[in-house]
Amino acid sequence: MIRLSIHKDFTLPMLGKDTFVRLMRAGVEYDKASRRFRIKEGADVASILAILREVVREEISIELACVICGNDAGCSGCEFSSNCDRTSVAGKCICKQCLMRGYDGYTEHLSTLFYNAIKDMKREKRGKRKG
Amino acid sequence: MWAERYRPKGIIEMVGNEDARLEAYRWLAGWRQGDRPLLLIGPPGIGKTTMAKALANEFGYELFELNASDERTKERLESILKPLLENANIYSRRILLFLDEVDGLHGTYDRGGLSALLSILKDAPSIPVIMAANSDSGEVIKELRKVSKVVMMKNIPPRLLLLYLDHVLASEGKSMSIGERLRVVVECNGDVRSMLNMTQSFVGMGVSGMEPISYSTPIDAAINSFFAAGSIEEAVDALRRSEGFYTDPSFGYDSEKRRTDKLGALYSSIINTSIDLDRMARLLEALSYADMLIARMNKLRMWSMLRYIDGIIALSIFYDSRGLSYSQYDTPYHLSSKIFSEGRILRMIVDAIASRLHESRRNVVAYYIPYISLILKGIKGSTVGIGDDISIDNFEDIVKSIAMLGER
Repeated sequence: MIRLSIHKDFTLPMLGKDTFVRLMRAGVEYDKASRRFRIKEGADVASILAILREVVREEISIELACVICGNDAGCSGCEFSSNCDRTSVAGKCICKQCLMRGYDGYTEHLSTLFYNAIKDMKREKRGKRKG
Repeated sequence: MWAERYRPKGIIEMVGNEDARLEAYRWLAGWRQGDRPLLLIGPPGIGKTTMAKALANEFGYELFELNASDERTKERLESILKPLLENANIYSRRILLFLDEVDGLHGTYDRGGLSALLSILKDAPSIPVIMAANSDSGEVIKELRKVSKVVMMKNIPPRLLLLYLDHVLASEGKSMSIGERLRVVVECNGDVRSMLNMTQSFVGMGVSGMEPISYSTPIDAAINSFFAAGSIEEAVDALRRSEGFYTDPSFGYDSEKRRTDKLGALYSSIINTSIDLDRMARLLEALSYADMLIARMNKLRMWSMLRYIDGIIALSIFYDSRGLSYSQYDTPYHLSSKIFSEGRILRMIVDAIASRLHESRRNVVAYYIPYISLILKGIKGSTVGIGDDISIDNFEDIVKSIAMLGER
């Protein structure tokens, strides 16, 4: 069984052009420099898994990422593992440790994330104007 | 309703789809006139409407909400949207246009609705536009994708739902055992609205500690206790229970579908009794009104009004329904299958005419079919008029008659 973390880069053996194109169409990105693949947000994960299973000929399980700490969310040991269709849910969940911080911890983390995103946007704009 | 009370006001207060939310947030933060509209695609109940409302709230926009599946024709869309887009600056109000259920538009039947929307969107709208769709397939979405910035949203992972459920329960000062919470999260299938509705009906049953028995109150027991109730208060309580957690619902597990199940159970119980026809007519009339009310509340998203439905049903059918008992059998099969097959044939004919004449199906049924029926009756050699009798047996005759009509 191969565990595939949905927000981490991964490598694959030589695929052939057709499989490569199918993967790209299903929502996989390929970074030429590092020669690594990554699943895009909103990609058709079920199709990607089907293609990858054909390629590696092994069972693959998806591991979601924790939205707060960025580590694996611990899907295999999750209380919902048998009821959670990881190919159809959003790619980020929450790990057991971060779950202890509760809803306030979650929103606190998100407000930092959103604040930084806006700050980055403003910085980018200023950079463009100067440039 | 908790689903309304706990609808997040800000985008940070939502749960799940963090990347999609961030993308939408960045889109509106950097929005300039002429930017592409935002198209949110994802299953129902995951927060597309909430996101549009939260974004408008956060950036100080006034939200103008329109359900695209209701305002379908070119004329309707243009008459509503054009003045809004052209005069947005005059009133110095910051308006955000939200078009919900854009996948409900239909290119052929909706008489130019899609092309009108596309041309409005291509003309560099003067206000930010957010569209929402449940489905990622179909002609409409394919076209709208070309002119929009697409943000895909997915179901919310169960653990994040649990996080939100715990927050809501803590805010309400209520408690449920871990087993009950897990069950609610699993049963709602990633739909936050449905999760909150389920939890509220669960907690609101007044059963202390939420005994596990309340999960499995079978529909027959709930409806029978309604019919056996000694007072209207008891009857309302029994109806509330019937929306709870009975096993094997026919329509589905979310609260909206359970409500349909409840009405279905009342309906099948009423029509399978031998009460006099006047009494049955009064009962069915009351159920029909309740059904319409529920549909309107759902359509207008007035979920806070749904809490009154049990009271309305109980009040309107209480006295006439004493002495009835639950029956699961709906319309007798030989009758329902006939209605179904005849309806199917009529739908086929209506579809064919609507597509050929570029008309909506509703208009074809209302204005064309009665005349076609009359014309068919008057054609020499025609063996059938649509109004007379339609069945599999004479379908060929109908087609022949329509062909004859075409030749003339």
